[in-house]
Amino acid sequence: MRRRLSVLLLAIAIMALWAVAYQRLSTMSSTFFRASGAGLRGLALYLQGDWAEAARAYRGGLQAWRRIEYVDDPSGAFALTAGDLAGAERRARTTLRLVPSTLEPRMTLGEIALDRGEYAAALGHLREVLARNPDDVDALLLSAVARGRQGDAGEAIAAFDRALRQGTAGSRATLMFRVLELAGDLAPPGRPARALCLLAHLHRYLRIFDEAHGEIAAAYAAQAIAAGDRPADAHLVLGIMHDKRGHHREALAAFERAVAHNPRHAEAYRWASVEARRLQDPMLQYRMVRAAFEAAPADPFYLDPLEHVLLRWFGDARTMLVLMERAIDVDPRNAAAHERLARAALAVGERERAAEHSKRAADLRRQRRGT
Amino acid sequence: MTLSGGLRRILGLRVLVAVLLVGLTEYSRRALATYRLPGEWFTLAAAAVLALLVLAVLLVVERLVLATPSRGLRPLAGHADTYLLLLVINLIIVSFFSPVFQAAADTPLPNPVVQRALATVGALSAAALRLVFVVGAATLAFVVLLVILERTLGHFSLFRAGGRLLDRLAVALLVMAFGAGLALTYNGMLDASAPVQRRVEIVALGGIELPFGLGEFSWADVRDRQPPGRTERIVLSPGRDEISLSTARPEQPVVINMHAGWFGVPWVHAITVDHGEHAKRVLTTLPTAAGMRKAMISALSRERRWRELRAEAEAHLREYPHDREYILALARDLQAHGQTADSTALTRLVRP
Repeated sequence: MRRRLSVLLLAIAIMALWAVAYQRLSTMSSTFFRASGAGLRGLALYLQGDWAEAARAYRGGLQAWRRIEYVDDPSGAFALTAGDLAGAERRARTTLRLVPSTLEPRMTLGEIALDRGEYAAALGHLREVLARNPDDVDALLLSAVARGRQGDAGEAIAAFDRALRQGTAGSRATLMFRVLELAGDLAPPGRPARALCLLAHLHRYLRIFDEAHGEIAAAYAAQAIAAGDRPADAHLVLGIMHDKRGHHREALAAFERAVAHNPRHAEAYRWASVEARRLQDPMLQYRMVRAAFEAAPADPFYLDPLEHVLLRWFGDARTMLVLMERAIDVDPRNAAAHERLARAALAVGERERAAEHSKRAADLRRQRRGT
Repeated sequence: MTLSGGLRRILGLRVLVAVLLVGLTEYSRRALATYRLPGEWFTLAAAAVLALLVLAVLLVVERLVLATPSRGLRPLAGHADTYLLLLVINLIIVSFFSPVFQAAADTPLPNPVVQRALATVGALSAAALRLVFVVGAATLAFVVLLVILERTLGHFSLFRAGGRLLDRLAVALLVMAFGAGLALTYNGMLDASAPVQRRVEIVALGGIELPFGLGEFSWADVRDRQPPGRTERIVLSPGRDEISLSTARPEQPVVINMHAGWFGVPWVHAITVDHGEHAKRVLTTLPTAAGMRKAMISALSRERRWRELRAEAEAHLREYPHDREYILALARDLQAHGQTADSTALTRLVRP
């Protein structure tokens, strides 16, 4: 009898332990599982919550990338990932001498400066990349890390917001580990956390790789709101975490609180429009995409959702024309606004006007590319 | 020996009846979700049937544990706990190979039984195994409780009588649930009445998300819009309704599609978003939203609401006086449906 009960209890324990382990590990992306001593050490540290040390251990485990030749690594990104800063710098500078307009080596130089703790120099390199491509996700995320290291939480959060609205996590192998390391350094185990709202954004990014960070991001966002640390940005993170859990009403309420704190928060309006779409309310969706546009009329990013609702869905070319005219008044060099004005003009039968703005948009794009 | 006879000999009649009751309760659960009735009491009844489904599974477990093994199973029954432990360990091992089995199942095989078996084992990935293990651990905990109770209190006749009474009570409740499900099925399935649309707005939402992706149990309190009527509670059916606990919110206009019912008990077929009301709200703010107005006119045409269609067509023409071809096409549509007066009026607007 006792043996039978013991076996049954053992079976229950195995099943429960397996379910708990699966629950924890299944949320993590394959980035965290590396077949090396350093990788296993990194995983152990990560599971203990020592993110800074975990990030350093993981990066230490990327030495195999050293063997890649220059022809396959002209930007020096692989050499940098492997920790060979001198080699990475040599490769990046060689490539820049050959093709001065290329962006990737410039980004490598920015990362090298970050690794050396020269944050102002890093930002200088990254600014050059962003001047050519303002929505470069890698450059924005690296800028956010540099700003975070400098203690400039506001600029770091702005860079994070701009990067994450593109819907990608970036392409450089070191990015996630840099963010993880910064999150660990800002909130070391057993010590009080600094920059709560920035931490919420860091964990918002890390959630892409491990869903468990969603809860942490939400917790930091709640603490930031309580502490009055950039409440609009904190409500934005809280709303996004609600959205990821499928709680769309709660997400919408959080975004509404964000814009109540900062009525010019275009990204919060855009997220509110996403929730309005999920809640199947076209009027609210329109109000929110329009508010996002009016909060940032010179930002081409908010023109696409506006055009989707107003022109493609509602078929209201006339209102679209009026709004695009306003966008061009604010920034006459906004090629995206000229393109959309051309499409709206075509929809109402103004062919000449459409052709004129299409041409203007093409000229502006050509000028930006430098051709 | 027939299949049922063989099963009865192996498992025992009491266990077979309990298994049958699980099937019948699941049938009732589906009937309640398909042929819903409005009302708060129905929400409670639907929740009760969910609870009864769990009870039915526990009844099977209870009868299995307390059954006297058949002669064929007796040598194995003594080692059931060991087999169970080995099964758990084997399932964990198999789950690691599930991608291999999935890949094998995706390649064409001459034997469909082997292919099906490979697909089943392949589906036993870690995600599926988590659900199996959570249910398994809960069931085993119940078994442990039963074993302890039987060994400690089982020799008291009062306790045994109480156990038998609970067992019969559970069976009676499950049979009643099946009867209710059957009645709802007849009320809905044999009902040939035309659908009636009730335009309502959501007042409140409630419910719970079931764990492990098993869906949700939710309801909406709705109130008639025109004329404003009483508030009623309706269980949401995720497969049929356009709204769910996560995609609906208070003040949202929705349409409830109802039928009179074969027994005269009105039942809810589906809840849809009131796209017409949403379009009206958009057009109040943006009268130049031609695409939205045309979609609304198409909906009015499908619903044969000719007067409203004509009014919307006139509104469209006021905003877009050059869109004559569209108005003429509408006039032809009206003529084809015998609405000569409305058709003539629209034609006169573009061909005075």
